[in-house]
Amino acid sequence: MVDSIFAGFALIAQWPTPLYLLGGVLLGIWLGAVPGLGGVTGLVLVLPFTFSMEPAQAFALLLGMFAPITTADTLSSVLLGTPGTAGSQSTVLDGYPLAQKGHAERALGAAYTVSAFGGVVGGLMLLLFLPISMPLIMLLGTPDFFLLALLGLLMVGSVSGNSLAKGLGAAAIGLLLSQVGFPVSSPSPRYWFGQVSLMDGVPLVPLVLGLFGIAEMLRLSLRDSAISAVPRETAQGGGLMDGIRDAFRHRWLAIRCALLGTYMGLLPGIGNAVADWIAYGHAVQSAKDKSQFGKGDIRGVIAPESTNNAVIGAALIPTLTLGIPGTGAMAILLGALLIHGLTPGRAMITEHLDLTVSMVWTIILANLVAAGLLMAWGRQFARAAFISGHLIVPAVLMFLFMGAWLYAADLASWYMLLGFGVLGWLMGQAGWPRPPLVLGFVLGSIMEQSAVLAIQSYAPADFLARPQTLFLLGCVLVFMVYSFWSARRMAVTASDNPAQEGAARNPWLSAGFGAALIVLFGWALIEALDWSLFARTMPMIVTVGGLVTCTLALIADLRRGLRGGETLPAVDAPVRTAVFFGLLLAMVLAAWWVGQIAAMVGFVVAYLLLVGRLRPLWGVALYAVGAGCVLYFLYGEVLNVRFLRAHLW
Amino acid sequence: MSCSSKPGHGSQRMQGLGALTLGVCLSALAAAPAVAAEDLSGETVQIVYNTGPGGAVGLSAQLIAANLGRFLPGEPEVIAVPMPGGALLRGIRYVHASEPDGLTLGWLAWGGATRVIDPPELQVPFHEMGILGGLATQWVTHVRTETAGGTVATPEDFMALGTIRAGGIAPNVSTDIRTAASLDILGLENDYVGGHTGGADVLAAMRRGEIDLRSGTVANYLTTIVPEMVETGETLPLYYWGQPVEGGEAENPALQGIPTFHAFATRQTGSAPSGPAYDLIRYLTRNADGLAWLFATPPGASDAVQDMYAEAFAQMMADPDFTAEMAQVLGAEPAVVLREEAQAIVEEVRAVSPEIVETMQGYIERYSR
Repeated sequence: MVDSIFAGFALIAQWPTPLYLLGGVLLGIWLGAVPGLGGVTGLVLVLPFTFSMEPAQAFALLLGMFAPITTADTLSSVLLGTPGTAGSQSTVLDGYPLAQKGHAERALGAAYTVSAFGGVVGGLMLLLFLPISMPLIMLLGTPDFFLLALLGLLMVGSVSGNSLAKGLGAAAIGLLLSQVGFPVSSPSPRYWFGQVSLMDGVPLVPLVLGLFGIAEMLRLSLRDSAISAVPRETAQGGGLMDGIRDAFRHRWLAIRCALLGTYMGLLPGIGNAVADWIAYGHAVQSAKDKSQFGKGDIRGVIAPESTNNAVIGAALIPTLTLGIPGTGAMAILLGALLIHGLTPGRAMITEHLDLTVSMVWTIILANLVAAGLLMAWGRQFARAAFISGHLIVPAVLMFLFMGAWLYAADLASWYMLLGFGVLGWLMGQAGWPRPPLVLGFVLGSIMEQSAVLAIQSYAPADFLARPQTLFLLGCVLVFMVYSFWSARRMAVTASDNPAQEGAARNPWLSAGFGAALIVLFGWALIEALDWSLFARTMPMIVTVGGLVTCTLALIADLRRGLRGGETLPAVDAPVRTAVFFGLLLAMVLAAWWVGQIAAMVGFVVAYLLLVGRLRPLWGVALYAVGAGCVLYFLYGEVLNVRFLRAHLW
Repeated sequence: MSCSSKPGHGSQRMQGLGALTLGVCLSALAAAPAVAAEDLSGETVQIVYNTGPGGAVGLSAQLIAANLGRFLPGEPEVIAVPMPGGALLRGIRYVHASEPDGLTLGWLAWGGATRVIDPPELQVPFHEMGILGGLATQWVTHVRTETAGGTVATPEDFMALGTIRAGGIAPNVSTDIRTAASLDILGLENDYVGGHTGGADVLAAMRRGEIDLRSGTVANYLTTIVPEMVETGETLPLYYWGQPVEGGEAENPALQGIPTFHAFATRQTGSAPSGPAYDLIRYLTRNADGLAWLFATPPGASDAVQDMYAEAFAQMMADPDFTAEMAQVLGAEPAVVLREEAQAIVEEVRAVSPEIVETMQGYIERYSR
């Protein structure tokens, strides 16, 4: 084994492999930093170039690119309030408030430190567990996946703000959205309105980018200021070194979350999107003082960032040893193995052990190099928090819409992105928290699938004969009691900070939103009644739960409204909000007629002139030309994006 | 550059702004993609595949993209573009609706054999497309040696089980339908566990002991199942559905030692399989396996364009370097389907008999939950 460790390193050190590794890291940083790109896009882009390479070079490039994506995606989460990838969703909750306080550098410093640590732990675990991975992976079956997902769902209380009923109602929306498309083991799609784009379900990318990204860009636009609410010179204790010190101060949290990420990564089908929520929930549950979570608690950054990097190394274990890829990205890496004549399985830890160890080295080195580079550039990146928001908003919106388009080159993905943007804004205005919606959406399909499979595969007595299932069931029960107690305590201590998720807002608007949800859940319940047993069970549970929680929230809002104590406006800056969404809608509609590049460039110009009132005019022209060049050269030529052609001529 | 909170002034200014906006938009419009040309030099040909990247369809599309240009006039750049979604329908519809300019092709997991039961609004007129060829596949069925019903060391042990937990993806998937029909013919009860997300998920369930029977492609069987599960005694291969021939099924030399389903059923039940269930198996094996992935142009492509691509496809499939690369991805030599054969299969599917459709629907309804 020791020989293989050295031999693996020798493979990485052999020229020009270090060059591929470094090139991969730089590419990975870019892919992670731009919202909507991510690992799958990068792997698809790079894979054809590796066909003619030696295997060690190919995997230095592929893994060198893939490993640091979850480090670089923190930039978008912290600075823009938009998850860079699915693995950094919960980082937004505390990372963005830190940036708003002028502590972006601190958040980034802590995130990079624990990301590097998590990545190294994930890589080492890959090395340690390769020979004994199979029993660990096989230990948990479908009933346990269901309980793990349920455990994740119990984190709702931690991200609900000051109203548990609204948090549960938002989670119910997410769970209901996860029911769109083909159900488990039935050939008829649900809630799909005859739209092919909905047959496989609502895609995660437009949902997350819309819910957080568009809504945050609107909020930034309305503020007429920089991301940071305080000037750079007055932001005390928010430096890079402060963040590094934070990481060391909370080292045990980082270690626990890295180990958690390692095990979550081992389990096929769980992935980063779930692991980071569970890590965030763990950070909240294990903290004595929970009052700052959601308002800029550094532990809310450390936990998910340590976890999501550890997931990647561990996710390679089932891919390499069993040929079972747990995620889309792992499926591409599995394909890369096959293209290079490598068969996943025992051979990877016997005859190809040197190459396998070289992958471990790649992951470790890529994480360290990426964290180092990002640290070095951190101060420059963090400056984005102090420049005018109007310079940031159009560029970020362009990246968000292209992110949705990359995921599905179809105008439906733009409509969905815009629709979720409106929903995210509305939830913010009405005081309904968004994170539980994402949590419910991510976990809903896993819960339904594992429950249906478990019921088919096991007899009731089998569940009781599985110690691991009983253990997880015990954990669920304990957490259930604890989270409700904890959520009630949080609700009592929650402040009235209007920027916080789920903060109290105008009760009449909130009541209207709750009433609309009651109608939605009622309709969804009626639709479900005619479906087959497995197809209707989950929607019925979700809709009945949604009806109950939304009714409770509605009653609370009505009582609050009738007391007449609230003087908050129903909607902030309604005219400017309408202009913002109107411009976006015009862009989406115009894309069909004049083509996407023209529509997006037109939007950038219109935004800068009408909303940002940017001067001088040559600056607007320069910005627009830059946007056009990015779209044409970067997306069109480099990423081979198929733009919609103009239908007007 | 600065952002002012004051509004702009004067109509002259607004005219200037309008001109500026128009100018920028027009310059962006000028960047629209080029149209097709007779000679493909300097052009970019896009091969749209209807699954996510990774997996056999995506990887084979990327390999085709990396090689096809060599066999086309002008040696154009060829790129592979994933277009997943809509139960594989999104990519198919996209290709079907594309301009027949010779710059868009489809490499499609078409699933035509089972799409015949889809509602009319989801049907795709594949015969309208320019059929250029494709690849065939084959499925091997194997069983765990330690099942919920007892140990299976021989096919006879398997037949003695009475009931078997077969794992699958969904009841309307071609392999799941054939598994159900095959077990019916063998007289075994199918305790179907459906709802897995894909082949790898079914395999993971089998290794966890949650299901006892599954079918994997020949590639999956040879590269993963044999070294990891057959040689370790974890699983026992039973049969594969061979291409229908007069009086039985064609044997695959790569699967020596494993009987075709026809041979297996004849040996185990004492009589050759027949009846609607076996007709359905033959229909699906011929049309779903016989043309697993379809290479096609959008409808309306000229004969010259179709001939050019069909010829290039045939030449590429005969190229030893390309087939060696494909063999690494597929785990076996690619089973090439040339244009005439692919066209025949598309027509056979179009003319499917009502009896086959009825039998297929019966199985789907029986296992839908």
